[in-house]
Amino acid sequence: MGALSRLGLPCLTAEAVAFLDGHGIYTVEDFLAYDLYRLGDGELQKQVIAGLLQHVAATTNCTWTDGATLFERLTTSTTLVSTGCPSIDDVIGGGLRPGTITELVGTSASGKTQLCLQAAAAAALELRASVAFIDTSNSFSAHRLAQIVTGLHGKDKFVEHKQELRNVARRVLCFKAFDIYTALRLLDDLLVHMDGAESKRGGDGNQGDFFQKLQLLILDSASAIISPVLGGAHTQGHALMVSLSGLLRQIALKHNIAVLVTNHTVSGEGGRPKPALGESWKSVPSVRLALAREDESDCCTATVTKHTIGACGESVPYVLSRDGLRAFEAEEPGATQQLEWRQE
Amino acid sequence: MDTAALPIPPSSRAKLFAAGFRRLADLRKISAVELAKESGLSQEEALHILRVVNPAGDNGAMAGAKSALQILQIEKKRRRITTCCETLDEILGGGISPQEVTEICGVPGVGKTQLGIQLAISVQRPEELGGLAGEAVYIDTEGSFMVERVLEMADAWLADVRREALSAQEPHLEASTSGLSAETVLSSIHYYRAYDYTEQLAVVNVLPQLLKQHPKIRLLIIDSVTFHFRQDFDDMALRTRVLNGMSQKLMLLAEKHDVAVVLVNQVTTKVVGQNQSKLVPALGESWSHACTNRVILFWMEGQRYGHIYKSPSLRAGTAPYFVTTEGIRATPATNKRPWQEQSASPSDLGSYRTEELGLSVAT
Amino acid sequence: MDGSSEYPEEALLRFLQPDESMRDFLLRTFVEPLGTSVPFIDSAAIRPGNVVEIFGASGSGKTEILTQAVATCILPSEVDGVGYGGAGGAALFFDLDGRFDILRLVRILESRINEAQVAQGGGDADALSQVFTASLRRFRLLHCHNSFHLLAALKMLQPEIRQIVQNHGPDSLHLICIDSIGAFHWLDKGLHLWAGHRDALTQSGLSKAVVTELKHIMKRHRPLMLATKSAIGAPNRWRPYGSGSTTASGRSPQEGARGSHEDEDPELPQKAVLYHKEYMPAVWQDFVTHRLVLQGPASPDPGGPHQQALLGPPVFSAQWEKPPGSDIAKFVILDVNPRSLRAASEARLPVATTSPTLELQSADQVSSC
Repeated sequence: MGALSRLGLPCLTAEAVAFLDGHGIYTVEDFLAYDLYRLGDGELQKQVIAGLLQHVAATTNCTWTDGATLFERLTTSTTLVSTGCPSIDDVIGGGLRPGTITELVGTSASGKTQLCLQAAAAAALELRASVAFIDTSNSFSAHRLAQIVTGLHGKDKFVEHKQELRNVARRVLCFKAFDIYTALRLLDDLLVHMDGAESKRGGDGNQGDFFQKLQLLILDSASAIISPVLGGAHTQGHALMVSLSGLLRQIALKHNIAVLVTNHTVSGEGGRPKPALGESWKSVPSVRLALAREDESDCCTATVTKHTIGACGESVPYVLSRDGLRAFEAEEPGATQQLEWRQE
Repeated sequence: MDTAALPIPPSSRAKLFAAGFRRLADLRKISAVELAKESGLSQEEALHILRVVNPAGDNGAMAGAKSALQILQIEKKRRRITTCCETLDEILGGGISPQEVTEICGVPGVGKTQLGIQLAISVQRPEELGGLAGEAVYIDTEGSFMVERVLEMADAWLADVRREALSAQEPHLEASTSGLSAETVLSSIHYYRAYDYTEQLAVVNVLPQLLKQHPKIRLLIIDSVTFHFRQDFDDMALRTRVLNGMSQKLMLLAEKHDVAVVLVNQVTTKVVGQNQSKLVPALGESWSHACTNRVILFWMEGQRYGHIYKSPSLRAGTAPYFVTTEGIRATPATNKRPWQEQSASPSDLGSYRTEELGLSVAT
Repeated sequence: MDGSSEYPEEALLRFLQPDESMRDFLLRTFVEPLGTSVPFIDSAAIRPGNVVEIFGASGSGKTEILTQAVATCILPSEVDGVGYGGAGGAALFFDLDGRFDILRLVRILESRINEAQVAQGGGDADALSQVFTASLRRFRLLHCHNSFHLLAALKMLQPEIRQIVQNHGPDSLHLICIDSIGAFHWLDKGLHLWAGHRDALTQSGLSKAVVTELKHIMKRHRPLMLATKSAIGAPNRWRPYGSGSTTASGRSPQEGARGSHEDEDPELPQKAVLYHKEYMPAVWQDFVTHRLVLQGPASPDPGGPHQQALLGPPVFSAQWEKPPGSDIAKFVILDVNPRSLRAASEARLPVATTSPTLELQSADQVSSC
């Protein structure tokens, strides 16, 4: 915005600007941080304050929502986004919730990316929603996504599969961001586009359509771009991290989108793995799901370690199969299909 | 987004903020001259900031977005770098993929460097034969890159490629191999020797320019990524940060320049339970997330195996392979060149001693 | 912050007038303590106008306590002869962390309404939903994304409060919640590096501005303020008495003298004090009148996910740090079954409360004296 004088507000006459200057108020931020009672209550002051407050109200969302409205919104416009694995959906309360951030934390090869791809596939297939997949570690594989879609689709043979696959693949947009600055810019752009799609309603062709139908945002992995800037004596890294989580939250809340992020593990005390993003990140996700792979086996477990409304500590075993993550059963479908794995 | 999160010097941030440019959106529709006037920044600083906010020739970070459908089509067309070993190619889905970071780890002597050299040669396979006709960058940190060995493998590879082209009995295929010689093979490998981790990081940092100058480069090998980081570091937190930063840079390179990145890693013993230990890839838990694919090479009952430990697109799989005089092969020795003795190379001999260790590698 | 210099002429004029009669003063200040239905908070007799800070690491139950307090505030005290145990007041909730969950509040409300009606020999569904909706209407939520957003919201709070007064009657604003006050700590901390000569735009400057705005509101409406503060950095742990643990405000845990005869059996947990680490600027610390320190279950985020299952509900702990208290209250949070979330959104209806009660329970009060 720059200096107040650049705002071009009618209330900011030369006299008013000079008056504000006298109080050390040059920018909107100065105005916000100033105790208005100290400006006095002359006619000029009243006009200036009213004008600036109006400007702030127009640029900042300060509308309170009452509980009844919130609840109504919850019951009428909440579509839970499935992870594509019913047993995991079950432990996290039915699926990924719009407006909240869900975190997957797990050791390497525990299936974090697989679950992300599966959630993307499920949302695009079952909800016909668009999915934004932010890939920070080159792990997005469209081939794998197609396999998972095929796996999910198996239940329902009515639809022409090839065409359906194309449609699903079209609904998933993949963005690459290999450092936190790119990711921040990207999220900021996404937010701008979503605001735009909201206001235009149907305009802007394909892209507008994409943003209107967006229901799931995946950041895989959050820790890969945050951990290089954290640590050391500087606080800038933390500021970047808070900016990132703030943007994710804003996107989630403002547009009622389910956000899924991943966090890798590093070795902590006694060699036990601990999340790479530690204490200060902990307050970011509403739901945290810990994925762990048993040593030398295909069987993994997912445990809820945090849930704002639900129980923690519930866990469910799963296997990584050709068709994606599946509930662990005595006979594993993936094992018999191993040979077909690459034939598609 | 706040201007606080822009990658610009703190002093510039200070001036921006003091002038009331707190939101990124505030900087979207302003000229450098105006910005300089408003904020007291110099023209250059203002220009730099605006370039960061609106990089030339891209309309926002959104421009790079691709739908899964587009990526699927690209992935289908993508050619892989063969390992020259059918069994390994099989589990790798045809070879090492460009645009991905693949880590190869294993005990000393199991053939990591051999595999690296093999890839550096086979990336040059002519396009007519389904290859990439690319060049390779080889960053050697351990001094294990032997030109004589490269020459040996290059000769064998050239013979293979020529025979393949001949057997197809198509003149244009034959023609495609005519330009190849041991000399062209060697000159297509850009070799760097890094003597400490600073040099290693420095090389990684100049790679973008190198890749721009040599657009044919399709493969980047760091052999090994571990060596200096295991020696020279006391501050583990710093090491983790530096390594993570490096891996993010490599991923960006892989994606941006369509290059396959292969990182060779050592293994280390990790104590599990009482009196038990197993071999795990070095550099610890946090590094294990840095690579897209992880291939573990190990010994079992006198036989070398490759195992896909993690990959977003490939299923876990294990396949045997051999290190022969010709390079990495699926069969122990071929009769193509019967005049050569099948004596194990010195590195092979040394490795048998580690065989027992290899047995306990997690698979 | 000295009041006289704040309002030059106005203050002088007002100074010459008597502020209020002694009777008014007594009427105003001798108010009943506000109930929050959280036992260990109510035991401290919190009154309107107090600022209670609730400190704890992530997962120590801070937001849960706020939600419980909100529920008590917005429930009516009595409707049609049925007592609901609430205050019938309005509550404002500044959500700076973006993690307030309306569903949790709804579940608590439903459970309490249900309980009250059952206690009265069953009620009808109509009355239930009326009480429910009326209560929810007294709750208002705003998300803020940075300190300036919060400041803007505070500056524009008057119209909102006016509306509350219009809808729910004068003095109906009982509770202001802030979750959590340190949310922008890292963002604001960077400011001092760059704001240079502008004192107002530093971390402490912004805190001062926020506190000033809050003081204006507190002065005019005298609500109770509950603010959570997340621990940052290392998780807080049990610190044994006498181990030199100090709070950042410089005072060592008060009962030093009493500690001497407690040394007899040092392994008991109640010998420990919950650790509080301050990072907010002094102006906020001075604003706070009460501080409660919370501690989550012993291992809130187990590295291996196998451990937790069979241990029963995790036990949380709470201790007053300001005013100093040596009692550590233990409590458990009885959870909603997470599966009911799907039921709730599929049925598009408030779910009947067949799930376990949602009350925050004081499992046992452990006294160290």
